[in-house]
Amino acid sequence: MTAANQETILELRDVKKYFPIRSGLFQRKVGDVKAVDGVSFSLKKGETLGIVGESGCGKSTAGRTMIRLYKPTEGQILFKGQDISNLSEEKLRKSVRKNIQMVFQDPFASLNPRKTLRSIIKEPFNTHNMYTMRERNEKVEELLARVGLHPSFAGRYPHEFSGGQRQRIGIARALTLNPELIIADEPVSALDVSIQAQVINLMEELQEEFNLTYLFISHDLSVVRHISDRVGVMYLGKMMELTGKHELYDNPLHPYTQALLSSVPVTRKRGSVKRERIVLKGELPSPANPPKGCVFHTRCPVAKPICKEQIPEFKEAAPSHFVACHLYS
Amino acid sequence: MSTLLEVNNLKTYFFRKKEPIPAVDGVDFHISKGETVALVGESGSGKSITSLSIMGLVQSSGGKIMDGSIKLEDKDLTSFTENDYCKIRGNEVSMIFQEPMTSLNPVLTIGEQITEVLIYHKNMKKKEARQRAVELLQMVGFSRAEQIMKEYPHRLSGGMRQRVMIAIALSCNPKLLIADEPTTALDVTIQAQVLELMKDLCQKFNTSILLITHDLGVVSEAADRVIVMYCGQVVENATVDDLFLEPLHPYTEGLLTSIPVIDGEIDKLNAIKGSVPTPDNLPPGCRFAPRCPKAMDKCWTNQPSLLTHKSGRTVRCFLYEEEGAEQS
Repeated sequence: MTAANQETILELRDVKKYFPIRSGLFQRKVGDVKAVDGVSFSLKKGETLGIVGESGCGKSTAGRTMIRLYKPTEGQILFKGQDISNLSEEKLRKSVRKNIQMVFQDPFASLNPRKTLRSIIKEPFNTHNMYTMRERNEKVEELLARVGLHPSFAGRYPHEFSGGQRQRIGIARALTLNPELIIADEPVSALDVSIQAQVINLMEELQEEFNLTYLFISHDLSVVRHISDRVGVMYLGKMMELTGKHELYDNPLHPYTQALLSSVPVTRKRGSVKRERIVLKGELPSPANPPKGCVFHTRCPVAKPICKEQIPEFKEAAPSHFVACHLYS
Repeated sequence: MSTLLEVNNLKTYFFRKKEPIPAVDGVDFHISKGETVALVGESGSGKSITSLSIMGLVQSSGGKIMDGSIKLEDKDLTSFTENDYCKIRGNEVSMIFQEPMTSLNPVLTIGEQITEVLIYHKNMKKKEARQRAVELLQMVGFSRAEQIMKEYPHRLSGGMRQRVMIAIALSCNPKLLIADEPTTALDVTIQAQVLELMKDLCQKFNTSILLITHDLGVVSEAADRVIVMYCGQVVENATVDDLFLEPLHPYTEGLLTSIPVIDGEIDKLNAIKGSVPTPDNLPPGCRFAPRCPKAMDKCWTNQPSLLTHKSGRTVRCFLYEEEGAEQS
């Protein structure tokens, strides 16, 4: 899908989300967990942007901030040109939430166990006061059929379904209001491989049918390569590299991206060349106390003295290939 | 290479209202000394129950070994009592569990947990055991091993805890290491560290590994031979190269084509339709028949047996019956 000259649907400008650390008798603020620390990118209509990174890199927080489940500490979120970073809950519900929906990671925790599928999927209609009762029920059955579940399942409860089926229910719920943008936070990582493929194929079909835009958050680099048009790599709350998927996987510029890609185990055919693996030393530093300068310099195999001092700028190193690294400035 | 572990026709059943539920239903395989064998399958395929049966840990969760034998060198583990097992667990056979978050004791320090094994199995004095524990921690890549000894598990990250688990598992130089999804809960860069470490250590001590995983990438990197399980049965047994080059069983083929690859493009993923049947509701014929794209009439009614295909690979599928007959 070419999304190059399509309209921008969502834009993030230097968005930060800090969570305060409180301690002591009066619960005074003693510091911040910098979960998302200055992230800028834009999403074009109809494209899929994949966000990858290790746990704790802020990819989920970024996703949740975009849909305004969290209020950003700083920065602007523009949805179709409108700044939604400071809107009140009521205004959000009226103007934005209909158009941005979310699919969550854990299909066992994200569905209310006391409600039937019908009332789970119908709930957005109630909230937004759409359609008559009868139309609502018809819509529910239509949606269930669309995601590959039998419409007669509408009266059942979530516990009667397997993980893959529940994720389909989560997708049906996200589709109820005909959104333009769906934020999918690790939608397939809790599923078995054969089921994972079913859900990925379903998401691709739906995208074509409803002209959806996806923000696909995942730690699985192979899945992200399969589904995305462009991919962003996050590390400790910062975007390290962002470019088209072919460019990113064939020609990664940032040392972190290179290490990340090389550590993915691949199914290797006999006779094929074994890739050189870059094993990173140490662990992800705590986002409450990120390293000075480039956040990656503590684990970087090619760190220079300047990396300890100065934060590298996130800029275009090659046409539409953005990278935050001193090697390319 | 001599055989270290031999599992023959193992059947482990669980019971619900006296109804038997066959979680593992006739599994045969062997592991040679120094070999890494991967046990692959989706959740519910019985791979973890197979490993728990070897460790003698199914009885405590209500399971029962109904039939078959598990031979570790010349000892038959199925006839072992709990006391006998205590002597070999951690000593000759040890296990790394999937959840590094829950498999360490939260109220004991790392040092206490490592020395416990050494004092029990190797009759070491406390001081001696401490020294050895520090060495072990250094071996698994901790630079400040002395401090780590005094830490509690909650102070460590997932990757560090998994390395501690590996240190404990290898503390008595076991002959067999069972690793149940050792890297599933870890990030890729940490996963690479842990896999690298397991490989190094096993070469050094000539330990055999039974690696249980659903990640075919990990299998391809780390294993010598692969056993594919489906619904409590072995459906294919082959070397890594053979399996990835030419999968025989339709289920193996489905698994291989349903994963997106990182170094290439697939237009549309080939999803296996349907889902794994539960062990209390198995189809009467071949257990994969309802999901199989190549199912024939007899697949729905008859159960295929494990056939020996040319080149010594085994596969449980009627498609290869003709070839198998020619062979024998």
